Amino acid sequence: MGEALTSIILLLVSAFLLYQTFGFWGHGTDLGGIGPGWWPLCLLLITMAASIMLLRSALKKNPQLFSLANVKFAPKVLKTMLLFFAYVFLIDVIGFLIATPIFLLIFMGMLAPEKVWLKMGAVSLLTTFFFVYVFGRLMYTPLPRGSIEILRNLSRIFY
Amino acid sequence: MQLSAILTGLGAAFYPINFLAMLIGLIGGITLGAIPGLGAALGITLLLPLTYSLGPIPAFIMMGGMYAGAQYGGSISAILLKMPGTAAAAATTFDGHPLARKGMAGQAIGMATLGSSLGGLFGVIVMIFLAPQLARLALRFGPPEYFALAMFGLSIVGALTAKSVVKGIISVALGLFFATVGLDPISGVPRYIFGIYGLMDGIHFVPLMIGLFAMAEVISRAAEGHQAEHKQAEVITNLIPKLEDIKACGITILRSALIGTGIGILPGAGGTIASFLAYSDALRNSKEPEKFGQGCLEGVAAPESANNAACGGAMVPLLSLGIPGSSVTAIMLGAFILHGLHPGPMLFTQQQHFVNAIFGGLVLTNIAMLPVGLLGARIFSKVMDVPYYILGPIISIFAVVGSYSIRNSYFDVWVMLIFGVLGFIMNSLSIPTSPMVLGVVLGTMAETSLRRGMLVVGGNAIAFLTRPVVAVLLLLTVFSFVSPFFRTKKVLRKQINAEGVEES
Repeated sequence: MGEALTSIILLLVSAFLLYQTFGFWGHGTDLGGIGPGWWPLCLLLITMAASIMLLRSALKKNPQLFSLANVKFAPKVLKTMLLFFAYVFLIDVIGFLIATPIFLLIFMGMLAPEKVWLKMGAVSLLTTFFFVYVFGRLMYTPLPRGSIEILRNLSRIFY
Repeated sequence: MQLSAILTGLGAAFYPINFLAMLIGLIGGITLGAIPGLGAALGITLLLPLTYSLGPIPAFIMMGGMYAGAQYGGSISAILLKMPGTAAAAATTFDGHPLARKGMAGQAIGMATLGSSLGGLFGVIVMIFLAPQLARLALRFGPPEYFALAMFGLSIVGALTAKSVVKGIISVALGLFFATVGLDPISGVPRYIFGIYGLMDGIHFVPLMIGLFAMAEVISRAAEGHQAEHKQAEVITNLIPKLEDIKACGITILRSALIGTGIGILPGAGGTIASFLAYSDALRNSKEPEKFGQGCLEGVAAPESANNAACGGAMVPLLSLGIPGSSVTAIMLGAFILHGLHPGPMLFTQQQHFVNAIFGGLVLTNIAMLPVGLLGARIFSKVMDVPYYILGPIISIFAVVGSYSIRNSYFDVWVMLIFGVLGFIMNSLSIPTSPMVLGVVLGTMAETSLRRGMLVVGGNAIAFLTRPVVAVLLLLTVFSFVSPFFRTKKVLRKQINAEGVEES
């Protein structure tokens, strides 16, 4: 994603948010102060002005326009992001206890130069139990148990 | 305060039970501080049930140790993993991690330890001698002064992004904007919620920061794939700071300690703001400002000295006025009440022995931090020996659980993840992420102070701007924002002239 594309996206998003700002613009100004819209309005105008300046400089450097060259290793990045989103989504479904070792094993498999599955499996399980023990038991953090009843009951054995 | 009272306090701190409490608090604090997502507030909360069985003196010495230790511990993961253990260590990542990537993690940790110890000691000494006077001064600060202070803090952006000011402005403006999301703190009107319930409380800056710093780093390393492996085998050597480094950073440590103590005293403006302001000040006064951000010991010493000095500063309003200046001191206020004590002016007259012991305990904590910190850092440095295919996924879980545990909110995990992706994109486009963090940290303070200040002066902007402290701070802001560009232009002009001479 090049600078030009970034500035256009920023301009569009800022314009949309600016429109939203007028929905609560004058609220509470009867006390003599400035309303809740004043400060964000200033910030959005600054962002828009800076985006226009960035767009101008990007247009001067024409070869960079809408180029994807800056984001390297795009397939790996997408795979990593997809894995993270899947993990965070699954935590709420199958719970922290089950989702975490699966995520750890897959992520280690993606990163490791040699696939030492036994070692990675052991690390995944130990890491999960460490977090469950420290956060779930010692610090009483209510780690997500998921929405499946049997898995919720299973997690109760551990935290 | 009389010298005899301090000596009495130091004597009390050396009682075996108090000394042991101090050590437990300090080591526990360093450990918790180094683990992202944990920190002093959580540590002291966890300590509360444990301290019921102790007397108030060892209990508060332990809490003081925990507070100072956690403030320092945050720097270890900030340097080694680019993942600040505590918010106050965010500024330490700017130069600490580049130093670690250059194989100078030992020097960075050594300087962070020295800066933290000396800064903390300075803060405590100031607290002991000037507590009542400084507290009175801080009480005179009204909303307009706080707004000017926030603006002064933001002026660092000019110095941080002199190469591409436009990108820096975009980053800080977005950061300030993110701080406006949620219920307006003055009128209560919802802003930019879009029907998402989780946004009602706003975007908490800890998940945002973990996302921008830690998650973005994990995604970048994952994108590099197996090439990332080579960057892990940094050997941690030379932990003891060299004499020439101490000499070079000495003034910075002292000046940052002064800033940290002053900021720590102001309620609401704690170690995080202090460390950013001190970093900005160190950069502004450095003979080699171009080295900042590339791995510079001064850039580590300044924020670490300031954030530990802020601990002493934050204790001033707590002890002398009974006003907590931060979340940690708010928890400590609760602890005082639990132990049947009422902090405030009467504490100094009715519980002099207790106050002396607390002061003595804090002095001892900051002295002990140096050997304990250096020895502890060697153990923590082992984290770097772990291959990234193991460390990366573990950091990801810390990021997820750390974001979740702040408010036990699943929503915060999504926030962290989204800002992780945003941080990765920003890094790819060379848009700095640190101004965004600065914007989020100072945003609420800047906006609420501005609006409250305008209410105080009846909407009269001239009356707002002509308050002496405000005027001075805003002038300093303009100067410090603009000066780096002139400095950059001067350097460029010199380069052009030099090239011209060579060509001719």
